Amino acid sequence: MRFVIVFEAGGDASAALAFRARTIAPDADILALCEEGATFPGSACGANEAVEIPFCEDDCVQAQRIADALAQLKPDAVLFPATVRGRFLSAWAAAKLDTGLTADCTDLGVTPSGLLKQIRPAFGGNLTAEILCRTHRPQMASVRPGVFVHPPAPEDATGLPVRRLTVSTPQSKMRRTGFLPIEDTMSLQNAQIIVAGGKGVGGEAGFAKLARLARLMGASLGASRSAVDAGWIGYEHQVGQTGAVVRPRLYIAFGISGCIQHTVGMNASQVIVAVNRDRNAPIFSCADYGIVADWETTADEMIADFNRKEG
Amino acid sequence: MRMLVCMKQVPDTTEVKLGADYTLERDFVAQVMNPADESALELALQLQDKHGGEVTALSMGPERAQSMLREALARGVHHAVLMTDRAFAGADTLITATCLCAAVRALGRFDLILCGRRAIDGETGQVGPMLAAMLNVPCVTNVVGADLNEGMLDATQLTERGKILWNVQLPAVVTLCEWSCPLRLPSVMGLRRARSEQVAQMTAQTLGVSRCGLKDSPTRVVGINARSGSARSCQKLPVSEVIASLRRKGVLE
Repeated sequence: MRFVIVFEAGGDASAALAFRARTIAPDADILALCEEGATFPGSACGANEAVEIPFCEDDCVQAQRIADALAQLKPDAVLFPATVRGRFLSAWAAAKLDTGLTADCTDLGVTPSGLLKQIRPAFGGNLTAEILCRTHRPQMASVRPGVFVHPPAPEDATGLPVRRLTVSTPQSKMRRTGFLPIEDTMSLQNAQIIVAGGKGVGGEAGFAKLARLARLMGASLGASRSAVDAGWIGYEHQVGQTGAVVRPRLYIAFGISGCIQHTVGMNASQVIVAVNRDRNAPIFSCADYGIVADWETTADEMIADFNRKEG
Repeated sequence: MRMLVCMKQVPDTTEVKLGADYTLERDFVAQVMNPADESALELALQLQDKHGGEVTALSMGPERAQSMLREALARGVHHAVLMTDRAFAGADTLITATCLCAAVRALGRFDLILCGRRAIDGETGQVGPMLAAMLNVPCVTNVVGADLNEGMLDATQLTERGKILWNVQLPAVVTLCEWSCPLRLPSVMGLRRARSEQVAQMTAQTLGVSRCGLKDSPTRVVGINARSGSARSCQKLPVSEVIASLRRKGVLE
């Protein structure tokens, strides 16, 4: 079985995908397809060869090059990081190669007959679906950064042999004209503590209160999709299947019911505290501590506690 | 400027039921316009208000998706087209995009195609970029705003690290974020028009597509599982005791 793992320029999520591929298919041929500027993976990630293609800031040109590279490399399975850009690249390439693609997998395996088993949340996220692509090749899937982890590279890890691939360069029809970065100081991905709110916190004022608590705790602010969709807080705060996948030391969920849509984004946290008025809310089943109470009263008590500690 | 809005009718709640073949059972839940598609529709209408042109709304789905297309007519789209045929049912994203691509070609040349960035039922976000790849036109996903600029499109894309500004040649495909352009209310005139206007229909046969529906889809759902049980055992305690316990364990300072 041959895997290709796509390594994005400037991305860091793909070594974990290669490692996962090696785990589920120990004897596979695993190629790291690296855009120029990608961090070259070492042997420790599980890949046995790196293949480099040039980089172009036009994502459509780049997607076409990846499709071209995949047509040359003829893998059985291809894994992409499910970043906004990775999802675009994978969809474009799958259409060009006329094959199936499963977005946002939360687990991967190999069936006894050697097919890539693709697991993803389905139907509002309360169930998971197992998806196979039997008739078309390659079998393609994307996985959110953070779903799989890559163990630290051992001291004796070596570089991989690198092969440069010649790919076509279609005409560019779009130009990048600017970039407005999101302030990274409180980014979710590296946060040690996350204070998150859901539909239950009721509105922007609720999130202002959670932001106060977060500042006191040195935490980042997270949110469920329903809160983001309601416009109470920006998308960069979204945790879950369609937001960030996080692994902080402590995750406190206020007024979040806990459908899998959200919990797949946070259930790898070290300690989870759930605050919800409904003692039967599903969030409690993936929490270490449950506080069955009004979210606001609880937040106020925590704010008072941390204020006392400060003062 | 000719614009096309691709839209999908989706179940209003996440309480959907499954058919025996693991496709969605859509009959018992209220159906609404997919939220991200509302933004795509609104952006098209704003561009039309500002720069002129006409907007067509296109959907693939069962007969009752007509009601959603009539909502689009009530907001001011010129034409509404429904691709409806049992043969379309159960299509995965590749085959959905293939059928949409055939419909787009049948409807003539468009300068701009607008889609939602994902549907709340399937949540794959793949159909828009796949359609662009098949039409061989540039595509920007996760768009939060766009306007015409001297015959080109300026589009703002939201990514994990910030907003990227793009200048794109037309024709192009953009996919819109759900909260980016809140959909306007219909006018009284619009509502009247929506009642009288025809929703054109296309079938697999009139489109002449050779591949459609579940049978030609490369990806198959082969199993559904309840969410896996969590290894955590939840201790229910008052807030003060939780904080104390977290401090004892060194999770909090």
